[in-house]
This record gives sequence, structure tokens and C-alpha cells, in this order.
Amino acid sequence: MIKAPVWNDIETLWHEMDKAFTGLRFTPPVAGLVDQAFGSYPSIRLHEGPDALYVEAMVPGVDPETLELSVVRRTLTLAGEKRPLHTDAEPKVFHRKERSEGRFERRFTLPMEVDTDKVGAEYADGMLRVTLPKLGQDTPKPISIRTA
Amino acid sequence: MNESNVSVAETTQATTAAPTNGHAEQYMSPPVDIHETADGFVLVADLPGVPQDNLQVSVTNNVLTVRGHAPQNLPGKARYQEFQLASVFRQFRLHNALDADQVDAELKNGVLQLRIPKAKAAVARQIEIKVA
Repeated sequence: MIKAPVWNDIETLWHEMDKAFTGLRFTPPVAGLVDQAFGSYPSIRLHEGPDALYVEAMVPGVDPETLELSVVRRTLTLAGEKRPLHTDAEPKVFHRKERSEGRFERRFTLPMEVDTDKVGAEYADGMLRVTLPKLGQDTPKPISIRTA
Repeated sequence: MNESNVSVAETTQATTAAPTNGHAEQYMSPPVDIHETADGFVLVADLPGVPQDNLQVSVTNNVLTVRGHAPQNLPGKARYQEFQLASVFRQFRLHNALDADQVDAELKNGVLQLRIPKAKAAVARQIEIKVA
């Protein structure tokens, strides 16, 4: 059977689609958390509580001193460096090399605006946890109505 | 003469049982680096989210076992997840020429570093060449 050229096109398209979605590991982002496709390391997860958003990033072996975290409007940026651990003499032979190292930067959009002045972050056991208090914009503000 | 490798090979399923605890808990195999130095092997494993109290490192019958549990304690409801914290489990078979009794373990920033020294007989000895 001769392969019709249309199938080639579909195959190419399929390949392009695969390339476009490289970096999305689990499910596509939920509405509101639009990854701006800037960086894919570290892996993150986002939880939402009644008063705050919680972002956790997997950063084992990253010296907390090198971590830079910033929030501008709805964009959270996380950068840092994972350095090799070899404190003593240079390794002679590598038998396995599965861990990664180097500088990283990742940016993504939060599902809502947060109070950027009150963002808190803590690092423990190779995990970075960021607490982002929501802006209290959902509580209705009573507006007095003047009568003429 | 037989050239033998002193190595830290990963065990196969046949030699060691997978952790059985009665739960259908998910286990993740953590990424490791293994490098060799003059007097031993250094194994480095990424174990994010595993506190020291939840980590067990043991050697039984020359099988090195790393087992840990990462608690899932992020408040609120999950909105988006790229990872799930699971328990970690990985085993390595240590060569006889390694000294399994002298394994040194250190956990820092979610990274475990194990130093496994070579047995004295396995360390390369410099032989002085006499000039006649």
C-alpha cells in the first residue's frame, strides 16, 4: 500500500503537538493557572485554602540561600541553583548520574491576585512552601447611599 | 587474572521483596548519583519532603535499602499538581568488596549522601618499584 501524503502531514502534525506539550507532565494546568511556558523546573503544586494560596516546589539539594522568589501581580517567579554536592576530591568515576544540577528559573501565573506584601516562604527537607494570602476583595464593602 | 568491578548495582525484584505494608501505597524510586572515589563509593539521592525521622537506611545481606516517607501536609484543596509526594524506596546490591558496616549517612536539604568505604583488601595499594 502506498502511503498517502495526507498521512505524512498528520504524522507531522502529531509530532508538532507532542513537541508543543513537552513539559506538561501531569494534567494540563487548571483554568487560571496558566503556565507561561517559562521553565519546567522545579515541579510545583498549588493548593487553595479559604484565605490563601499555597505553592509548594520540589527543590532538593538547592541551597535556600540561592533561592530567589518574587511575586509581581499574578506572576510568581522562582529561581535558584542546584549545585553539585561533591565536597571532597573530584569524583573519579560516575556509575550513575540521574540527578540534575544547574541554574533554573520558572515563572507561572497564579489563579488570582494575592497580597504581595504578605507572601511568606519556608524551606524544609528540600521543599519550598510559599503562602500567598488572597486579597480581601471578595468581601463586599458596604457603600452608603446618600439621599438627596 | 580476572578484572572484577567493585560496584553498587541496583537489585532486581527477584532478590528483594517490594515493601509490603498491607496498603496500596505508591512508592517512587528516587533519582541517585553514584560515584567512586579512591577509598569507596558515594551515593547521593534526592529525597524531597522526607524528614530525617521518616527515613530509614539499612544494609541486610549486602542489600542497601533506602526507604522514606514524605508527609502530605500542604493545607487547602489541590488545584494543580505536577507531583505527588509519595514514599520513596530503592535498593542496591553492594559488592562484597565494600565494607557494609561502615556506611556513613547524611541528610541535608532533602538530599541523602551515603559513603560506603571499600573493604581494606579492595583498596588499590601502590606498589613501590625498586630499581635494581
